[in-house]
Amino acid sequence: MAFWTTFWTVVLIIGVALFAVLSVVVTIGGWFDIRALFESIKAQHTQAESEDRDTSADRKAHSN
Amino acid sequence: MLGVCMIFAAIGIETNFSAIDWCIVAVYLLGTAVIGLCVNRFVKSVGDYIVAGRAIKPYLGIATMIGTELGLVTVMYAAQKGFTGGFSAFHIALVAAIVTLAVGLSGFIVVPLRQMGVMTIPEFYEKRFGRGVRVFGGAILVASGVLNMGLFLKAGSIFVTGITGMTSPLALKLVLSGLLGLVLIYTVLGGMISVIVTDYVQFVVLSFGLIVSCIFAVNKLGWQTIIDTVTAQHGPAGLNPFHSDGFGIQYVIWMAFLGLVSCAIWQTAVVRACSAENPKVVKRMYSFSSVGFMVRFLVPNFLGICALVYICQTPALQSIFLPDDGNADSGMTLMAMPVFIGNILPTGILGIITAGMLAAFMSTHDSYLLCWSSVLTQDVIAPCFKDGLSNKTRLRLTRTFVVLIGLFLLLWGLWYPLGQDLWDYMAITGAVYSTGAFALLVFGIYWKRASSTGAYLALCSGGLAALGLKPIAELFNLNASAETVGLATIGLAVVTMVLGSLAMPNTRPAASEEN
Repeated sequence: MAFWTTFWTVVLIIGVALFAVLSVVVTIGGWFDIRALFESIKAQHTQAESEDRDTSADRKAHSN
Repeated sequence: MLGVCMIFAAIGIETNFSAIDWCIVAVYLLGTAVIGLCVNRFVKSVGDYIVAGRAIKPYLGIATMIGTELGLVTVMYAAQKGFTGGFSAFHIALVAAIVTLAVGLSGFIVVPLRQMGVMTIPEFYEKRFGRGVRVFGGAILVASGVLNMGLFLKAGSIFVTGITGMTSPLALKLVLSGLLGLVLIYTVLGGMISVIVTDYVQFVVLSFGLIVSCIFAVNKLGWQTIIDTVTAQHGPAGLNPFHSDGFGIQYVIWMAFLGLVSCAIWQTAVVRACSAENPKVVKRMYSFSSVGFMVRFLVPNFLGICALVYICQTPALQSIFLPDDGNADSGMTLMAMPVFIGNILPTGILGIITAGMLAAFMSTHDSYLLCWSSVLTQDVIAPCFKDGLSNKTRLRLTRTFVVLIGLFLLLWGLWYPLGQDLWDYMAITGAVYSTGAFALLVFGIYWKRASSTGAYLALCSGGLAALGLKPIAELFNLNASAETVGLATIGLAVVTMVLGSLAMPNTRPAASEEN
C-alpha cells in the first residue's frame, strides 16, 4: 500500500508539473505557429492562382 | 437524464455558479465561434478544409492534438473512473503516456502514414488493399466513430446540470442544442482551419483551468485526507491497479491497447499526423503529446477522486452518490466531479473553467464531426463514383454529413441507456473499428504478404467487439467483461488477418508497392 501511495503521488506531481511547463511552452509557441499557418496557406493560394494564370495563358498561346 | 435532474432538484444541491459565470460563459463561447467563422476565408480547397493545407507546425500540432483529446467528455469519463476506481485509475494515464511516447520515438504506424501522404486511414486501406477495403473499412470507421461520440451530448448535459445546478430539463436541452448548433455552424463553414484555431484557444483555457482546479481541490481537502478516504472506500484495489477486486491485469493490458489506439489508430489523432509538415514534426508532436495524453486522464482522474472524498465528507450527497448497496447509477457517478467543482471553485474562476469545458465540448464535437463526415465523403461515397467527385461536391457532401451526424447525436444521446462507465462504453464502440484497423495498419505497413482477404476478415472480426456493450451483452446473455471481449476481438482480428492473407494472397501488388 505504501509503495502505491508514494508511486501515485510522484506520478501526479511529475505529471502536473510537466503539463504546466508544456502548457506555457505550447501556448507561446502555438501562437507563432498559427501566424505561420495563415501565411503558409496564403502563400499556397497565391502560388496556385499564379499557376492557374500561367496555364490559361499557355492555353491561349497554343490556340492562337 | 430527466431522473438525474429530478433527484438533483429534490435534494437542492447548491453551487457557486452565478450570473457572472453565465456572462463569462456566453462571451467566451460566442468569441470562440466568431474566431471559428473568421478563418472561413482561408478555406479554398478540400486540402484546406480537411488537413489545413498540411501546414501545421509542432506547437500548434501539440495544442490541437491535446485540445481535441482533452475534451469535456474525456474529463467527465476520466473523472468517473477516478471516482469509481480511486488512485488505481491513474494506470490508464500512465500507460497512455508510455505508449504515446513509444509511438513518438519510433514513429510506429504514424510516420509511414504521413510518408504515404494519405488524409484518412481508409485512404491507406485503398493504397494497400484496394478500393473495396477502403469503402468497407470507411463505413465501419464512421459507424464506430459516430456511435463512439453518441453519448457526448448526454455527458455534456450531466456536466452542465452538476456545475450550474440547472435542474430544468427543457432549459438544459435548449442550452445543449444551442451549443451543438454553434459547433455545426463553424465546422460547416471553417473546416480544419477553424477546428485548429478553436482547439488552440480551448487548450490554453482548459490546461490552465485544470491545473488551478487541482490546486483548489488539494487546498480544500488536504492530501492525507484524500489518501485516507480512498483507502477506506476502495481498500487495496483503490491503489493497486493489478488487484483482482479492482481493475485487474486484463484491464491494464486492454488500456495499453487503447493507449495505442488513441494516439496511432484513432482517425481524429491520425489526421493530426497527416496534417503535419513532415515526418520529423510527426515524431516531435507525438513525443511531446505523450504528456498531454497522460494528463488528459491523470488530472480528471484526480478530480474524480477529490469528488469522492468531498462527497464522503457531505452526508446529504453521500446517500445519493454512494448508496449503501454500492450500486451507484452511472449517471450519478458521472455527475460527482461537476458537483464537486461547482462547490469548491469561487465565482469567476468557475465561469472561466465552465467556459473552457464547454469550449472543449464544442472543440471535440467539431473535430469528430469533421473527421467522420470527411471519411464518409472521401472514403465511402467518392470511391463509388468512377469519374470521382469535384472539389465543390466533396465540400458540399462533407458539410451535409456534418449536419446529419449532429442530428443523429441529439437523438442517440436521449435514447441510449448507458448502464456502464462512460469510458468503457467509448472503449468498446471504438473497438468495433480499432481492433480491425490495428490488424490492417500493423500488418499492412510491416508485412508484405498481408492481403485484401485478410483485411476483410480482420475488419469483420472487429465488429464482434460490439458484444462488450451492456445492452447487447444482456441480449445475448453474455457474462464477459468489456475488456475480455475487447482483447478477444484483437486476437481474432490478428489471427484472421494472418490466416486470410496466407490462404488467399493478393494476385496483384498493392498500389503503394507499385508507386
